[in-house]
Amino acid sequence: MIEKELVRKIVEVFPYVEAKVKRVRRVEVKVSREKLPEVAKYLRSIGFKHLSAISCVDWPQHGIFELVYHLWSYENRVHLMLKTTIPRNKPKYVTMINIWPNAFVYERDIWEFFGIEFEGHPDLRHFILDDWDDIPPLRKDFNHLEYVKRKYGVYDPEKEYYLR
Amino acid sequence: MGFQVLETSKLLNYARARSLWIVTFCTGCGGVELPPTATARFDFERFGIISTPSIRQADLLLITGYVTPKTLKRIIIVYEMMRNPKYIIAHGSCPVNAGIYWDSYNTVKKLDLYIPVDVWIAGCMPRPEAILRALVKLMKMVKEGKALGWKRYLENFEFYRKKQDRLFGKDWRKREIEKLRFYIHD
Amino acid sequence: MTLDVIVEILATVGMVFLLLILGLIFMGIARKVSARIHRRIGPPLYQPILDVIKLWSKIDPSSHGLTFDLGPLIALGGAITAALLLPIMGLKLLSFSGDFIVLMYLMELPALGIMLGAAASGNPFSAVGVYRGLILFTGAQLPYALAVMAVAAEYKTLSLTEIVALQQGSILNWGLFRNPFAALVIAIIGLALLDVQPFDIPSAPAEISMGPMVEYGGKHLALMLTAHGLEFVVFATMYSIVFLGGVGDPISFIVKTVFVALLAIFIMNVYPRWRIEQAFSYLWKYPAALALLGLVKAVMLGGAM
Repeated sequence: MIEKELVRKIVEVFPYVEAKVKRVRRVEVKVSREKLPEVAKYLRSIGFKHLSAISCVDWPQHGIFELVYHLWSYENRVHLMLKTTIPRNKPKYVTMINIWPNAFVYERDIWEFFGIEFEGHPDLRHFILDDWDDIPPLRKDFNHLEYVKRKYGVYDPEKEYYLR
Repeated sequence: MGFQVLETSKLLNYARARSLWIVTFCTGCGGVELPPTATARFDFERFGIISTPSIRQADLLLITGYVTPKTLKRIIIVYEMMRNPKYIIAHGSCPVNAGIYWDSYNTVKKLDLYIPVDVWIAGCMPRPEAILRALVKLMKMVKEGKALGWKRYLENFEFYRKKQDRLFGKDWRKREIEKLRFYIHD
Repeated sequence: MTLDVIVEILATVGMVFLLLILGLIFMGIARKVSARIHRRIGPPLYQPILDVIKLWSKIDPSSHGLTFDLGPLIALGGAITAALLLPIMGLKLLSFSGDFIVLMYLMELPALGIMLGAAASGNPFSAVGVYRGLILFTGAQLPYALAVMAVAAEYKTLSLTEIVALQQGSILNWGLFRNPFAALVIAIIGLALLDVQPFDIPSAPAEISMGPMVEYGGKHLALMLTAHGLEFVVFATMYSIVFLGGVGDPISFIVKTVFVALLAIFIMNVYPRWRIEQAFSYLWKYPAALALLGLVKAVMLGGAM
């Protein structure tokens, strides 16, 4: 299968990654945070030219943010998830704009909602939240009910409308 | 003279009711129910309603769906650019009490605190038949001279202004214009 | 003598009012027929009259200065002056010898007035609309001038009443059959003057919001809608007078003008709109060639009989 071929090629060049095949057309690769840019450059040269998305998972009990780069290869038709972790109390990482230019928008989005700063990104600013004055909202320790009560008023469930 | 004659004249009220012009500004997810209402199956042009892309020429603003603070600033600016007399119809349950987004950090909960609304439609999203029924109800209110949301806005401007400033911070209009300074020339 | 003068003045004023209302009803016919072509029920025929009444009753005026206010006035004034030159139903209001060429060039004045007023509002959309409208106008001038010269050479006169008189007799004397090239070219240029598709680009609603008219609302827009409707009727009447045998009695007036209006409406509904460079290059190639052919035919192969 083409997925097993790809896993074999990746482990041959970089012996320190953990790569496995999840099912047909799904491959998962886990790297430590310092080695990720080289692995990403190599993956782009094999055929993974399309960055579909960058997603981020918040694990407060382990104290890490997990960044996932979703890559797609047009010729082989394989979806590859490139995973790495960064510590939660110092959220900084390198930008992937040199390798995939459309990472520009996804990194701005993750900065707005999780607070991770990307070094080398030219334009980190809000585009969905206007005049935001609290911690980034998709972190697990953001209390959204308190925020709603503070900004939009108290919700009275007996009368079922907002008093302000 | 002034407002009194313009409100009580039967010919003028009939003409206003039978030729409402809508601004093509569809906020939120309810904008998908407007094209079926406008085209051949449920036609609203037989009531004389057409949609115009220019804000200065229109007198009906449809707020279809949820409203975020970023959109609410634009809606207030658009509403104040329209010419009196003007009307608003609010579609769905999101303008009423924020519907399924009642605990979201980024939607406005009660739209009536910021701009005056004349007719509310319930549903998530209301079907074209419900929209037509609301339009007919608004036309009846205009014909009798009872759709006076614009007068409420002018008379209680301090109330609305206080609520808007509490949500956005003071001087929000100046900050918005500064963002668009590149495109404005006199 | 004074009784005659008073009757003429009253007839003039009455004719202008009749043409104003007829213009709005023609716009209503356009909306109704377009709706029926789309298989829906359209608005009633008197809908633009209600639109104009509603626009007159808007409360706050706002204007950008003197030129902004003058635009609709120039438009309406030009349309009314053009309407007074037409010999309709046996009334010769202000006709004189040489009024054909004055009429043809007065019909451009409404669009130019709107461009002038729109250039005075500070909106970038209206700037784009004015620039496109002026390019379209320049494109329409060459075939228009050639077609006017062809018609003048065909009839060997420039007075509308004599043109009507030369078309009496049989149906083969109509201008449509004597010089079909000029008739075709003026029909195409009429679409460009009236702002209908396929030459709709100056006031394209979906691209630039309403083009030059984006800042107008309220009373200014009421004047402009009236001027637009009047221009429609004046063009239809002019076409019937010059090419379809004249409008002597009310029945032929209504039938011929509605026929010309329906032709314009059907073409408007079928064609999409051209971009500005496509419209300009079309207008300077094919209609200009046809008008030149019409001019050659009128000069070489004889004229009025």
